[in-house]
Amino acid sequence: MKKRTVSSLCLVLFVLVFWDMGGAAASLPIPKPAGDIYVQDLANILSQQEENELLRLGRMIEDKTSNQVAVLTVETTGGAEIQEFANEAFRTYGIGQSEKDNGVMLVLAMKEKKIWIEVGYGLEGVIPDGRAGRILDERAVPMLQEGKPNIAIMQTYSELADAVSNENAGDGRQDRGQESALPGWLLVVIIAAVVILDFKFFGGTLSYALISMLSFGRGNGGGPRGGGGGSSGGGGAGRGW
Amino acid sequence: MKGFKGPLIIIGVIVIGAVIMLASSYNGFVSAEENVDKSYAQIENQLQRRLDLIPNLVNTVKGYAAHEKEVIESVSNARARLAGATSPEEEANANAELTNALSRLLVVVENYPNLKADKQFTQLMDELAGTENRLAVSRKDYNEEVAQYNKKVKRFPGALVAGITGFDAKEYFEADPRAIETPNVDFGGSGQ
Repeated sequence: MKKRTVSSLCLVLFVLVFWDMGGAAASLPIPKPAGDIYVQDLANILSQQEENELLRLGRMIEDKTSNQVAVLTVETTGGAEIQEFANEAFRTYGIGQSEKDNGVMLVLAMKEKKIWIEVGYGLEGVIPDGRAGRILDERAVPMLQEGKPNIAIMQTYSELADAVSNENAGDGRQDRGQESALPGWLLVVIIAAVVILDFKFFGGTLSYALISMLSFGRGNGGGPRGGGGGSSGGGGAGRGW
Repeated sequence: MKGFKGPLIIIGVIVIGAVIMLASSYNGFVSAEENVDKSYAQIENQLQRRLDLIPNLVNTVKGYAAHEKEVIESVSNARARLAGATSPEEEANANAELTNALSRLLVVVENYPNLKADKQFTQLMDELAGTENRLAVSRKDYNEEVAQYNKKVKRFPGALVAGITGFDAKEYFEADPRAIETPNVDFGGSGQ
């Protein structure tokens, strides 16, 4: 009887404390990433061989510099402006490392005929908007106009890869500390209480589920490589063709 | 004696729970306000950046289209107004005005193919478009932070704590609807 009272009180507290914690839901239909984050070719523009080449390049750059270069192709942005779509996708995938925001992402929308380079905060110094625009003018737009989007992607990607290959390219970014709404110790106590209750009453199912959710997409060992949690603030440039 | 203990424990738990909730909602205000301020600083950065870009742009345009005085002047005037704005609302309005002036300038630019082909001009336009996009993103971020903050301050039980400790609801960064005429520097054409 008493046990039940205590545990239900704990549950109420838990619910109250976490009530407001849900973040704003993404409003745009950003496709779920599959495989390594570097190449998300949803419009099926690249051949298997081209895709492998970019994946290899992407892995190499991240290993060397921790910078992430990604490309996303979609049939359509679903009516959104390409830059809005790109920013949302960039943040959803978390391109770049979270403390450095050192990612850059090329986004193509085939139906809209729009291309955009979204640059993470940490790489804005290396790829200012003017340079991003020039890269598109020189490497992407001519090929796109000739109807060879795959070549446009290959050229632009390797140009971006060149730009961020300098090892210090992504450094020097001040961190955007995200403070938790709760003091640390309280969070620890609550989590401990939840875990104990969970093991007592549900045999730990909840905890295991949470742990497997958290580790998904993080593991750089065996599974596909995900984004590092980087963010961008809308820097970059775009073109139509 | 024994009859007292049960209710006392329950009351104790409730009191402790209430204190924790009040404290955590106070802390919640502090960090939410911090986030609002931080994202507002981002907006100011981008506005400043926009201000810095305009003189270069105006000079470049003058080099090719000196006699388009009217439109060039309206850009310069709008820029001056933005530079002098103080509150978020004033800034938002002045910014919308500048956006309008710029889009008129871009229409004029269409008649000057040499200007459009100028590398310097292309780069400036990219930077301006990028800045506008950053501005749009930071405005969205700011408004989201303000919404989060206001929700905390206005809703129960936060409203109680907020009333005592002096946290007020915050202003959104929004231009007067009459001043908005959806801007958008069109980068679609400049590559051709």
